[in-house]
Amino acid sequence: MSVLRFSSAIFETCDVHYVFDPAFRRLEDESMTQRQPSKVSPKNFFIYNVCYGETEGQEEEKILFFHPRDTNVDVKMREVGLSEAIVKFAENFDAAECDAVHTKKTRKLFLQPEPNFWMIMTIHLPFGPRSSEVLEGSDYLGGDVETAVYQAVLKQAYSTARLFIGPFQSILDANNGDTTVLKKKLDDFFKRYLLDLRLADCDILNVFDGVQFLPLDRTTFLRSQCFVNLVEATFPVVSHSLLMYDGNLVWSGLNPEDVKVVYRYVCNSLLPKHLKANYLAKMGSSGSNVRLTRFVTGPDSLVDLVYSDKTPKVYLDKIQRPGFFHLVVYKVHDLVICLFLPKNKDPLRLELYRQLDVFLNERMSELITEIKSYRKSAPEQTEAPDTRYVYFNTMNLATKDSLRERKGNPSSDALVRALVRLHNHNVNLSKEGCLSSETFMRMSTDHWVIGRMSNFRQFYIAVERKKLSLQEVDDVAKRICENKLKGIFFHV
Amino acid sequence: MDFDIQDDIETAEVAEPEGPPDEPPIEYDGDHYLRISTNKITFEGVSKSGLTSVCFDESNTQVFSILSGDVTEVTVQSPYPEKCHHFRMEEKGRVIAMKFSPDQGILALQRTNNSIEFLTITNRIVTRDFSENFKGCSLLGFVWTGKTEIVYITNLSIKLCRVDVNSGCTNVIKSMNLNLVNWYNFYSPICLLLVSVGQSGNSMQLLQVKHNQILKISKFDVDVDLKSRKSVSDRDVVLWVVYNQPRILVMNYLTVNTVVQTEVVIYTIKKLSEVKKTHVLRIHQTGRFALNIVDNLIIVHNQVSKTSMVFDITDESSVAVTYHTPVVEPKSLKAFEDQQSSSAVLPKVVELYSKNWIMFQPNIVMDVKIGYLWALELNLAGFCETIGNKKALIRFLLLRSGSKLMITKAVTSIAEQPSQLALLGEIFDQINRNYMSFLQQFIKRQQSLPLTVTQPDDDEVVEFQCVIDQSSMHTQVFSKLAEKLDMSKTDDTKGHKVLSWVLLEYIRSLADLQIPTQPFIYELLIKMMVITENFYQLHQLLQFYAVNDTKSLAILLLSLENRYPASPQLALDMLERLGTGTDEIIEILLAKKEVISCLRYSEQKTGPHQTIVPMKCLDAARQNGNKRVFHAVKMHVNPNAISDNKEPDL
Repeated sequence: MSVLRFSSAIFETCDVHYVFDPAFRRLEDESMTQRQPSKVSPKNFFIYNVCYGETEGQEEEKILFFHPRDTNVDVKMREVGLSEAIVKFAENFDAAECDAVHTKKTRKLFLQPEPNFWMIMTIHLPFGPRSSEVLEGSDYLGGDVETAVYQAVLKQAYSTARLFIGPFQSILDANNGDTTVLKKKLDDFFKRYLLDLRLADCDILNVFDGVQFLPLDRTTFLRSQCFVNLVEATFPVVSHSLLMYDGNLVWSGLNPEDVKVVYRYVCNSLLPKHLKANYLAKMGSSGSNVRLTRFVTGPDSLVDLVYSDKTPKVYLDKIQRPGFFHLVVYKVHDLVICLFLPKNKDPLRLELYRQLDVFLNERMSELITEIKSYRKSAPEQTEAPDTRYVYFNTMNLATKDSLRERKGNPSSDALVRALVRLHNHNVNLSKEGCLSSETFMRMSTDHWVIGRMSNFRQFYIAVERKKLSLQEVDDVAKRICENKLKGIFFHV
Repeated sequence: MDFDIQDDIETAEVAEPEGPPDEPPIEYDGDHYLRISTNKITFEGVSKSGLTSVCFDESNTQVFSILSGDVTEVTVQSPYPEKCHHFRMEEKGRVIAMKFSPDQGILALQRTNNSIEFLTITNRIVTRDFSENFKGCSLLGFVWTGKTEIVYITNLSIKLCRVDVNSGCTNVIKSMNLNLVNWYNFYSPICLLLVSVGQSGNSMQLLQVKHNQILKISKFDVDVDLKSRKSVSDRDVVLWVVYNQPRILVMNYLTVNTVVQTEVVIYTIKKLSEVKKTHVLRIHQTGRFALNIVDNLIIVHNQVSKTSMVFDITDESSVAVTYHTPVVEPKSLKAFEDQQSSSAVLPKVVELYSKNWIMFQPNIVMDVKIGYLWALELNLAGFCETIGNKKALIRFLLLRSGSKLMITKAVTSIAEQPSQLALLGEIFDQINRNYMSFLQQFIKRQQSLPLTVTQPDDDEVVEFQCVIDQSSMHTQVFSKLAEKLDMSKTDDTKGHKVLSWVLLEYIRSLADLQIPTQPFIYELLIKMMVITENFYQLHQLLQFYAVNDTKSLAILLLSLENRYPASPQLALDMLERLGTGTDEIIEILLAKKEVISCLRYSEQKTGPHQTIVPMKCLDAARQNGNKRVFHAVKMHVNPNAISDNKEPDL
């Protein structure tokens, strides 16, 4: 009894304390937020070519790009030297290249995107309490960082760089081996790219690096498809095109390797920026009727007397004649068409944009009406709020997910990380020749994650519901699969 | 007399409106729209001596040449062999008209305006002969409405009678008195009778003879200018069916500032109950005119300018009168070249638009002097060259018979130009709308009862439309384009890409109208996409079911694995959707050495109590070399086999 009384007395004093000193309470709050672990952040990012600076004292020549830029040259060279040494060392054990090095505080990721070129990214591991139950003591939380995610981030960095500047080796070849141009291009590209990189937000979707297709019925799809054909037939200068609606792919005239890069760039960078710029322009002009062009990339206005060619040039690889293309993006409401026009000496004429505008605007508006009416007639089914899924088809890179809905909750994040682990497991199984599998994993939090793989498709489910038996979890998984995977062969 | 040509003439419009099964090859002769058929019927023409007279029966399409002499020799010619006759009869004086009953059993013959004779003929000899006299009225003419039913049109009445050959008399079934009948016009397929009545000159009474009744459909005044002539003459009126509706075509001679301008006023008989002025054909010429109807087009011949105009009355408004101008510039008929083959007889010189020409409906041109009877024919190639608007051209051609090859030729030439893809899409829509209404009609006919009870009137006249189905589109257009591409042998696959656009546009058009696409269209599309290596695009088409599932397509996809690694996935999906591909799926899984998933799949589909698949799985597991898999399968197939320690042959 006395113990009880004593402890209640402590609570009382505490209560008094909280009530009478609001400042202290604020402090307490801050310390609470500090108890959240720090987020993953980049330590450095660099690119080097092993063929350069082979003689002692000239090692600096190897370095093509280094972030942060203000790093001491000695530090840069030490980092490069260490990476090279690790790669060499690892070669002794396995024919496969070195992927990652885990240390207590950091993780180092390796990628050799082209022969002799190495891209290295080092990230700081999160630092904080081991779990919410542990009140004291902080640690580096290496277990919370899935290497596969950051490997994917590194690959994406390369593929995006290649989209804009082309293959690294070809730039060197074009300059007789001189690295100046390549260095300049890498610097121009990566200083902006790394600025937008949100490492902490990366998850299993980065691993898949897929595209989301818009669900459409046969008729609407055929109309959209024929519209794209019509554009290419009417404007023979257009070599390839993509059609997107509301961030989903409707039609791709490019091959999967190219389309995933372009899709990521357009959806994650180009369109958000355009939206923001449009918004700001509207705010700035405060209601005066500024005519906003429907060209996301291209001229600002179709009546400009002084017109400069502003379209991005992108490098497409998996086509008959790889090379650079003008990327013209045209947007009517939620419908976006990306046109790829071969780059030659002459810039695109304003007249072409005018013709495109006349041709596309009305037809795209009609198409939007059709797509909208279909989507109204067939609304997407939503799942129970405590289950989330992610689907990936390794063959056509189609992804579908409901992960974004509950982002930021620590236990949910842990579940999503567990999905990456399941995926790694499946990848290893596939390597061994096992092409269909089903894996259940129970977390320490009593939540479940399920991974299914069949016919080159993967389906992962996180069930944030406690006290479920294996049978019940299986039922949940089966129901979601039946709902989401219609008309395909998916048997585990 | 030429008899050898009669089979051929059946292909002309006078024959069945069903359209010939084999179309003649395309003629590239594009400088004329109309011609008179090279196949003609020859008969003894009218001679100056007056010994030969000629009469024509529109209902049976028969020409009667009557040669007077000691005995009267009658030669009956027709495009239909069973309607050609030759017989002799007693010389009794001039014949005004003669007509066979529809079954050719009885011949009715009129020599004077107060009597009619009936004859039956066996072996070219008259076997029975009786006559009927009319008192107090004048017989204007007669028409057969049945095997033994005949209608007399006198100046005072219309009489429907039954002819009894055995007793040699006629019985009146129905009689209708009319006040002063001037002339009549008869459309035999549905027994419509138009009579001009009264003294005003423009009053008409429309009747129908049906079920032994004479029905009054409507009495109306034709809206024509009567300044230049007192009354509407029977030569200026045509009663015929155009576009599935009976129409009355009336020549109107408008006097405008002392100049006579001619137009054709068209009345449409709606639902066989109401007569309404619906169209006016603007001629803007002066001269002497005659009308013909060819393939639902109205042809206006001008004898003075020796040209013919072509009118199409498809545009119809439900309320107002529609005014039409010619479809193409007026042009002359194609000069007639007589066939040289007919032995030593020198070919006769045929003067086009001669004064001896008489036009009969729908498309018969007769030169009574030379003794030729032709069918008027369209030369569609001429229209193809002249109608520049391709959409209008296709619409025009779709309504013509025998235009299939013309249409496919036009479509092919459009499909070859990628810049015309939008137009091509619209043309596909036009063609497929026709195709769909044909399919619907077909289904309706399959479902409904035999067509006797319901509405015989509607079924008498079936509108002919040119239907271009998927197989003719495939053979006439797509395959030809593909062949051309195969011939060119260049590395450039642009042409193949364009053809896949064309095919997709066609599939899109079919899908819009919910017509199922035939597999051969898909096969060609897939072939094109494989040539251009657009595998990912093909994948997308399959993903959205733009290409329908078939087992053969699934097998084709499996064969593409070396070129596109994702194709087995597509094949498996397709087999799964088809629901009939369980065996194939099992084979595919076994081939991929997915033994356990195969076993699971087969048990899920067919239940655990079968033996073939598990044994196959066991074999596959043995060959696979994975001991764990083999053991698992063995345990599953035969749980009692634990003691069986025989190792698999690895």
